[in-house]
Formats: sequence, structure tokens, C-alpha cells
Amino acid sequence: MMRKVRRKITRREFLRVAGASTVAVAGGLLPARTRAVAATPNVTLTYWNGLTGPDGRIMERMVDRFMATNPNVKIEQQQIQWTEFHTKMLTAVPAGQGPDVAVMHTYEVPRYVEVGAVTEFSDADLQVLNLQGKDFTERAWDGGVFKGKRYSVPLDIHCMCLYMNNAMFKAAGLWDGDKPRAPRSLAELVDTAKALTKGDQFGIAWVQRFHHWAFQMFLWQNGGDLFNAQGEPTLASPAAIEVAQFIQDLNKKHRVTAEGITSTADAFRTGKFGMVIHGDWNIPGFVAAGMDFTVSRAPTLFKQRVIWAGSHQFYLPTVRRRDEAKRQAALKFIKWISDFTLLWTEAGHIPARKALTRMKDFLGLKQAVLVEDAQYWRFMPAHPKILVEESLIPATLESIFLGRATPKDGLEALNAEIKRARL
Amino acid sequence: MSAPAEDYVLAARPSRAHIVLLAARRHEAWVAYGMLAPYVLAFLAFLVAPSLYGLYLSFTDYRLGSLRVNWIALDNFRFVLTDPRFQTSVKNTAVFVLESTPLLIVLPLALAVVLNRAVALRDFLRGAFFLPFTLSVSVVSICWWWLLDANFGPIYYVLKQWGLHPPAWLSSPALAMVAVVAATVWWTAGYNMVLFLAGLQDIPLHLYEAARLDGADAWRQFWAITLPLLRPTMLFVVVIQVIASFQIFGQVYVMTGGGPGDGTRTVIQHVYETAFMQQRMGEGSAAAWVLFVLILMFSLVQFRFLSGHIEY
Repeated sequence: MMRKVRRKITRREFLRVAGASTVAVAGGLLPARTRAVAATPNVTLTYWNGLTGPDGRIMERMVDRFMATNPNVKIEQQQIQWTEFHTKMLTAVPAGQGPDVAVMHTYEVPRYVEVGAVTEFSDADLQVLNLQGKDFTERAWDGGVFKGKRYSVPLDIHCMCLYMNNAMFKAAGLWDGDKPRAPRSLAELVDTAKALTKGDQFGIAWVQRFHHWAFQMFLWQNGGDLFNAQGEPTLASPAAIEVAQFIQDLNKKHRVTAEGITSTADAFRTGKFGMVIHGDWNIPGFVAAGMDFTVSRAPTLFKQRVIWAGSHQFYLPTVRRRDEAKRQAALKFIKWISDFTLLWTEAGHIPARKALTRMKDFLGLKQAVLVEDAQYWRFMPAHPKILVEESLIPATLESIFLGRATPKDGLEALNAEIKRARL
Repeated sequence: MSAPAEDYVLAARPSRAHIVLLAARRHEAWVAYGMLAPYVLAFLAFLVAPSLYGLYLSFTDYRLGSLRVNWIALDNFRFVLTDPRFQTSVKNTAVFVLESTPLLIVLPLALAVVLNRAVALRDFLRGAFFLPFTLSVSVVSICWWWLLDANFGPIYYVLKQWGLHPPAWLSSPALAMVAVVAATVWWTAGYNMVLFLAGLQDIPLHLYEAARLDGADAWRQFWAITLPLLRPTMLFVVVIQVIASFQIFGQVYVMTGGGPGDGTRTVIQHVYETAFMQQRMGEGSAAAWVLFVLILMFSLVQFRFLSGHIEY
């Protein structure tokens, strides 16, 4: 599968997309006056990220292209699985051995700021980048600010969406003209799932363990949150309990999903599940598997429309001795990758730059429809205890899903534990 | 060593032959130290030093990224020992040790006894049983996970074809633990089998001949000769196996993630998640040292009960 992805960008394709981006940049969609980045002497930059999936291969190719067009800057990239990435970053940076550029998610930044492991983007830096708020999707741009200071500039947005298996929708008579009838409310979702469930086929693949972003999204839709304004965890709120009950009901009451699913993407790929609510980064995998599927905006199951989203952003970690040439080269690199984010969309992501999401090359992609949700995007909070919450919540939601714990008991125990965790 | 110690004192000058002998010994000792050095250095640098550093961290508030650490004495231990999730992890680990260790002693021993005889395909079978051990834990775990997948895996498929509808193994902690034990036994039984085979081949054959002349059957020979004379091997295998079982992590982490709920969460997983995923190094180190003390206690007890002198 990865090999397929790797082959997909041909040189011609690249030049076409790159050309389009350049036209976008030069043609006034973005500020026309591209400030020339100061000529840099030969430098080597270390670049770390956690992009170990298929998107990592795409990033490798982008880095290669950058080096081909900027022969005086050498990029040494390391792709490390996210947990190890943070372990490595948080030991290397304080020891003065960190990278010059890093890509992380916005919610992971509190610890880095706490220990001074990332530097601020100064106004001068932003001038060099020639990027400003109005160039970006608002949520992505704001996500780079933590406690009033800008620590990152956005690369992309990735968000939750609804995947539908076209063949199953057709077979169940849930087909309108040229597309499946996407459920838009809780009742519609349950009805659709029930209509799709028969024999060894299930209406929806719900993850039993591991990622729990859909839960977070519905918690927000229901007016709840992970933490309150005082920073206390609020996972035992009535809103949270109601969402957890909905998850348990999918399995235990409506019986529209199967037990034992630890990867909804793998489950969906089997063609035996009608729907899955998951991140847009699964698109390339489903395409590579030759699936006939539709991507639609995630439904609003509760009170208000909120869509879970995240953003990969560029950070400039603290270095022992600040080297102006390196910093300039790092900014040049960030700027280049940002300009060519259309290449990055092959990973299923959405460019953070607004102008790029209006390009023809992007509008032809399956995830293009998700841009309509921009005003509803919400990121995981950059809260000091977010990693504790991330690590503890899967077991709780699994117990609730399996009916081994009531939503109330499960969430109360979890909330108490997150509260008790000392940071 | 013919010269008594006083000679040195009285004569204050050992004989020439003695000097040569001592020098040779000293030389031999240096050669030995030299040969041991690479291992000893690696052992000190990569095992002892990090462990002691971990012990130090377990008394501090160190978190990933901290520039300064504060001594907080036993706070981490107090927190860890009263943490319900840690207690669950200890309980699950104990269950795994109790379920896996007997299987990983009895089964390899039986295999070794059978394959120590002149059975057909003996060499092939020895290899076949040992081969899984050469695989990495992630490969083994992912294969078993796929085999056992309740929705798309071949095992459940066959069971469903037979009209059986067993519950998904990931739906019940007991079943999930059985699956992890099964994968572990398949993976590591061959290693213990090889250790037992080596032990069996050290037992002098004339003992069996004598027993046969006395009319002892195979069963009686096993209990009266094989098992008692295997005691040193047995001690080694049991101690090593219990330590290995206490350290269960990879299989669980890949196959169940510690679930369902916390049904198969083990101590090492708790350590990993606390120290690395949650970046709470101090508590993670404390949990690791609690596990170390547990393992040490078990090992000491086993030595006490299983060790002893053997005379042929």
C-alpha cells in the first residue's frame, strides 16, 4: 500500500501541483510581494517529526524536492513514532541536542513551553515567512498561539469525517441519485446503521479501544468538554455520560457495530461496515485499497455543530547557541513546505493556507468537502494533563462500550484519576 | 601454593619460581578481566547505571523535559502503591505469571522428554518447536492478533462455519488473557524445551539402565531419575521463566492494549504509559522499582526451595 502511495506523485504531477502553488503565491491570491529570504550559506538542518505513516513518505519526497531546489540547505529528517518523538524531544532539547525544526500537534505544546523547549516566532520571523493570519484558516492560525505567544505556524488541518461504503448504501436503498444518503442527526445515524446491519455486515465500525476522538467530538457537540476553565477534568459531566451512553447503545442496544474492533480503518477496509467516523488521513489508505466509498462531513448528533480537528504545525525548538543562518534556513524551509502544501494533501489532509483550499487541484480531492466545516473545527485543548487523559481514556471507553461499566461509574473513576494525576 | 603465608613475611622475598607463578597467574587474571570487560562495561553502562539512575528518579519529581529535579522522598511510591490502576496491573501480571509459568514449564519439559528419545523426525521437530522463539514479539503478537480477530480472523471464521458463535476474545478479560498466554506459550515454549533438552542429556544413561533392570517403567524412571536430576535445570528455567513472565509487555501491548478495560494491563505497560506517554518519569520509575522488588522476592524464594546439591 505504501509503495503505491510512494509511486503516486510522478515528476510531472509534482511540477503541475508545484506550478499551481507558485501561481497561487505569485498571482496575488497570497500577498504578491514575496519578500526574498536572505541568501543563506550552506547549512544543515535537523528536522524531526512523528510522521511514521504513509504521510511520512510524502514528507520525505517534499524534503527531497526542497533540497533539490535549495542546494545550500541540507535537511536531515528523522521520523519517530509520536510517543518516542516526545520522549526524544524532551530529553534532547534541554540537553542542547534537539532538532532545528519540528512538526507536532498544537495540543502537545504545554510541556514544551513549560520547560522552554520551543522558541517564539518573532514578528521578524513572520516577516521573513511572509505569512499572516489572513492567509490561514482561522482555527489553524490561532492554534499556533499558546498563552498569548506564537510558538508555531500551521502546516495542515485534519478533521473528523463520515466515511460511507457505497455498495452497502446502495444495497440498503440508501442512495440518492449519485451519492449515499448521509445521516445528519443521531436518530438518522441509528436508523441508517440499523438498515445497513444484516448478516455479517454492520452499520458502523465503532472503535472499541485506542483513539477516542469521535467521543471528544460528540462531547463537544453535547456542550461538554475535557477540562473546565479552572483546568479541572470534567469527564463525568452529564453531557459526557450521555455521549458514553450513546456509544454503549450502539453496541449493546442497537447492535449495529461489532465488538473487538481496534482499528476502525482496518474494519472499514473489509467492506463489511457501512460507516465509520474517523479522521481524513484515512482517505489515502481507502483509496489505495480500491474501495468504493464516499467522504462526507461528520454528522451533528447532539446539540451543536462541532467538528474535531487537529493541526500539524512547525515548531522551532530551543537550541543551545542560536545560529542566525540556521534559523533563516529553517524559516525558508517552513515557507517552502507551506507554499507546496498541495503536495501534502495526498496524505488526506487539508492545507492550512486558505488560498490553497480554493485551488482546482485541491477541490478535486475527496477531503475538499470538509473545508465547509472550517468554522466548526475545534482542537484538543493544549492542557498540561491532555496526555494523561489520552493515555487513560481508552480503557474506560472500552469498558463502557462492552457494557462492563456504566457510563457514569466508568467516567467518574476516570475523572477522579485524571484529577489525581500529579503534574 | 606450597609456601605458607608466613614464609613471605619471614623471608620477605618469595622464591623465584613463586614470582614466575604469581606473574603468570596475574597475567591470566588480566586476560580474563580483559575478556570479560566488554560485557561488564556494557552491563554497567546500559543496565546498572540506568537502573540506579531510575532509582534516583523514583525519589524525585522528574518529568520529561525537567531542567531541575526536586527530591520528594517516598511521594512517588506512596502514589503508585495507592493507585488503583497500578494495583490492577499488579494483579493482572500475577494472573499472567500463574497462568503462563506452569504451562511454560510442563509443556517444554514434556516436549524435551519426548524429543530426547529416538522419535521419527526428531531433529525437524526440535527445530520446529524452537523456531517461533526466533521471531520478534511484535511479529508474534500481530500474527496472533490477526489469527484471532473476532470479525475477520481465520480462527473465528472456522468456528462460525461450525455453527459456533464464541464471544469475541477482546470482549472479556479472561478470554483476552488466555489469548495472550496462548501466544506467549507458542512463542517461548521452544526456548525452555532446549534448556530442558540440554539438562536431560547431562543425566548419565547408566542410571536408566539400572532402573530398567530393577523393573522400573518409563513413568517411574521419570519421577525417580529424570525429574530429581533435572533440578539445576529446573531451578534455572523456573526462575528465568517467572522473571520473564513478570516482565510481560509486548504481547499485551500489541494484542489487547491492556484491555478489555484494564483486564490485561500489566505492570510494565503501566510503567511505560506513566513514564513515557504521560511523561511522569518519577512515578514510572517508582512503579518499575516496585516490580523489581517483587521479582527479586519471588526469585529468592524459588532459590530457597529449588536449589540444593545434586549427586549422581
